Amino acid sequence: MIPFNYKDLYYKSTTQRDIIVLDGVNYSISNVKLIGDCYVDGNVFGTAVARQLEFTIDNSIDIEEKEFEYRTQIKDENTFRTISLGNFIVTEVEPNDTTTLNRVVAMDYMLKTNIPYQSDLNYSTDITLLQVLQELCTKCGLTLDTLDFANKNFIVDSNQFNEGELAREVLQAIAQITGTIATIKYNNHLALICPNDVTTTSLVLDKSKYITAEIKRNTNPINILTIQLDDNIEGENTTLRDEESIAIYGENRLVITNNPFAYTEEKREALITALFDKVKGFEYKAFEMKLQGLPFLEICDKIQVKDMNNTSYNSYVFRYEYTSPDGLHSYIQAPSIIKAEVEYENIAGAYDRARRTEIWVDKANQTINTLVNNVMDITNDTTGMDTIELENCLEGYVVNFTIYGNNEVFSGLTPSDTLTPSNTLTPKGSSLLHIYSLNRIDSESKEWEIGSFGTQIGYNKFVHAEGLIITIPKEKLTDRNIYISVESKNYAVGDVRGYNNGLPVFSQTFMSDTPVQEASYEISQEDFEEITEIEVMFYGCRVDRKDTTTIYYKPIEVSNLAEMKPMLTCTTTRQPYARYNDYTIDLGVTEPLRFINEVVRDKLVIENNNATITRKIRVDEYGNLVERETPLVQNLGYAYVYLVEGNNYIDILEYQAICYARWVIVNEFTNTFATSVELESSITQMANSINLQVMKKVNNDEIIARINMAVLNKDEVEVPDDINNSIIQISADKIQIDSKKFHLTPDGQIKATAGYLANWNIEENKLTTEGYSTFIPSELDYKLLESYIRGNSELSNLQMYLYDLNDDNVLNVLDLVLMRNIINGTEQSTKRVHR
Amino acid sequence: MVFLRHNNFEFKNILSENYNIQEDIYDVLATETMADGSVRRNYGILPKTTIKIKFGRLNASDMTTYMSHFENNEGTYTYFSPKSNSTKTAIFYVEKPENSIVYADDSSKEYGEFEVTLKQIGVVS
Repeated sequence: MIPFNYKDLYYKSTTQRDIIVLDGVNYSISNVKLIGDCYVDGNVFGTAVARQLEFTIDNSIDIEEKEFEYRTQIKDENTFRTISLGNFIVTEVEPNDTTTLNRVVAMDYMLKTNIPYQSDLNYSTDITLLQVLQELCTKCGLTLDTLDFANKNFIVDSNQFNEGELAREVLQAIAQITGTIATIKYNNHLALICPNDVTTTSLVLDKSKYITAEIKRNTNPINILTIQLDDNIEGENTTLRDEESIAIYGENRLVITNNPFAYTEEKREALITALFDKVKGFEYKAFEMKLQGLPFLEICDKIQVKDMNNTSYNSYVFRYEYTSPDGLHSYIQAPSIIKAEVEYENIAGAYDRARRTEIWVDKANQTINTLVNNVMDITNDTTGMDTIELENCLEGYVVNFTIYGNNEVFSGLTPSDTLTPSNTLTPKGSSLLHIYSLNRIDSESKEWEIGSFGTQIGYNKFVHAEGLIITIPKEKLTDRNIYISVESKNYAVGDVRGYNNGLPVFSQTFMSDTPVQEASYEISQEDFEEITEIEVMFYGCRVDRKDTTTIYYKPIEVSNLAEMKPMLTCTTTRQPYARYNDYTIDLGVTEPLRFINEVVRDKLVIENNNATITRKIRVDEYGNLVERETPLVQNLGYAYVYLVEGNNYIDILEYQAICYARWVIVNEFTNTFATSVELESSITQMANSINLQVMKKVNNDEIIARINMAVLNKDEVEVPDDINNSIIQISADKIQIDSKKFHLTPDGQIKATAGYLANWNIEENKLTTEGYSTFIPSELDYKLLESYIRGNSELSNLQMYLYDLNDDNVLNVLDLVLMRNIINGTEQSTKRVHR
Repeated sequence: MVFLRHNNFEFKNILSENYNIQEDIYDVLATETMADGSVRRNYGILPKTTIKIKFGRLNASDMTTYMSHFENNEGTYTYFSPKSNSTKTAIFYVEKPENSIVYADDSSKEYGEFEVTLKQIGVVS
């Protein structure tokens, strides 16, 4: 418990300092940032987010992967008051190249839940949700503070988490179905907090306590709760409504989707009432506030915010970032979702098995013939400086590539009046991205000619010789000396090995501690007499060459130079790497991406083959960097990063900056199922159409069923061009249509009671030609069509239909020729028109 | 009375009214105006002292000696503290002086008055 009088110290100018207690010893730390959060994807219920602590510390202190207590201190007269903010575990230590300080990132005890979940409970007895949570805490080494919560006595009859889920995912599922937020308190204990249960206001924040406050809209109270299996399955949801509230505020729903504890209707019925009682009426005032950091405020604390007119609003601390010792750079937030309707939706990662089981068991004999929905999100991401490596890529476009501003990246060179260019001047100002891959070339053994100066091995765009083995028979050697020379920007390491008919005789590494470019080895007389062949194996050799347009030879030489003997032959038994998919794109950015702090910084994002820059920072008239009130989004237009299968690299030429990339990885399902990324891509890239695909693939690119549909927007009065030119395509092994007057049976029979088929008018029990006539074009029609094809005039929808004389859905010169022939009487019109 | 000492060397020839010292000033890490108009600051932990000293004319030999004690960017100096009426020792950053020549011939030189500023960067542990 934090003494109340300590809090007062934060309401005036402060002198703060921070320490950690590591193995019982106090160490000073600086540049501290403490980040708390419980708001994820527009939702607070069911979240379990670790607090993150970042700071710098002297690099003489061994802190890697260690646990420590974090204490912040504030000066009170001539003494410092201490507040303990709990224990943290180090996850990252980053050395600084120019100082003796390390940058450290640590997480609170929520990190302990990042372990595979295992349960030893006997589910044949009446195991409650509380017992599941208690066992989870025991296994994670956590103390549970909250023993009373909604649905705590719900009977869990089986373990739904046995497919390698993390304990964190189980905790999230429990928090979700109990209407709570899982968080680690400053006493290091796990708490499940229901915001509606927090009745005490921790603090009143008036204008004397904040620098700026953006007080946003009120979220509307939750008045509908739905627990559902999947929004695609009708009837698999259970809903409770508060009609009185709906009449006043309209519908504001909380949707819990695919919670593993609620996988049957019976279970949903059992869970929903207590859950609704907890979340019903939940509302808050959204706000964002810059202020002196108040570390005694914890996640989900209730606060009262007073605006400039002293009007009070109730809200919560859902997100904060405290800094120290410069505490005035802190902020707290209760973010709000953009949509008018408050809709929360959680999709827990562990629902799949339970959901599928019910579909198979309960739906097998009904009209839904098992929804084929094995959609997986199989992506990977990475963050790095300058050049980043994307491992195990599936061929296709990168999902997301982001460059974060640092005031340097894409900054141009501004020459002064007195600048005299030299030959070595490297111009800045480009915004080039270099994308390439390092993949093995087709595997095959190859005979290499050894010239008088040894083996010369080279490829066009050769960059890597890892795994290269050169075998030389003893009879090709003239003496006991082996010379290795590598023209490499980096280094080469490897072994020289001698064999007697395949049995090892000696092995010598030609690099010891430091990388070498040249080495020699003298085989002893004794070994030389015994061997029948030698092997030179490179297990690390990298030749980075930016110039990939020139055929380049001789990166590696292996020779036996003593007698400069002519022409030897050796065999490479493993293949070197070759670079391909090598290209450069210019983003056309001329203004640097700027940086104030890790929250306020510009970024460039390539997504969906489009590049945008979000500029959060501007330069004021004095040259200072100032945060924009509204970020400026610049659309750079079409840009792509195409990856080939294997490892790919993205390199920002000329600059260094932090980059992030997310890509689809090759996985065991690549050839069987489409990934959700592919699905997402196909939806987002089509502006007014929906592409529904049943996801199971037969081969790499064959899909057994597909429906392509184009739809009109509400405000589209006329049919847009892209729909006129579109196609509705239904592809499946069997298609069945049942309508009032038309039936198509799965075995291909057509039953129609009305319509028009091959020039025949279909009526009840008869086919006639009555009511229809054949369209005979005139010279005027010909001129109109010709003018349309030339792009000089428009046609009505009826004309578009009539002039499409060959019925290929395209008006072109073929229709024009056909029309001329029909007018001349050399061909007959088959175009039917209703009288 | 010694106002400034470095490595047991006592600086003399300080001009009258030219030993200027500002003691125990805290760094301001951040300044913000709150919504009600009041101003808040975050201060650094270590109080800092700044000393400005002006020396009188020196001959070439003395000047070489004096300048050798301001050669490094940072150093430990002992100074007189009017606030505590005693001497204190701390680590200072040295703002190098500008030197001017008053007189010079083949055998001797005389240098003009010069000013040195010492800014505290640490304490002696």
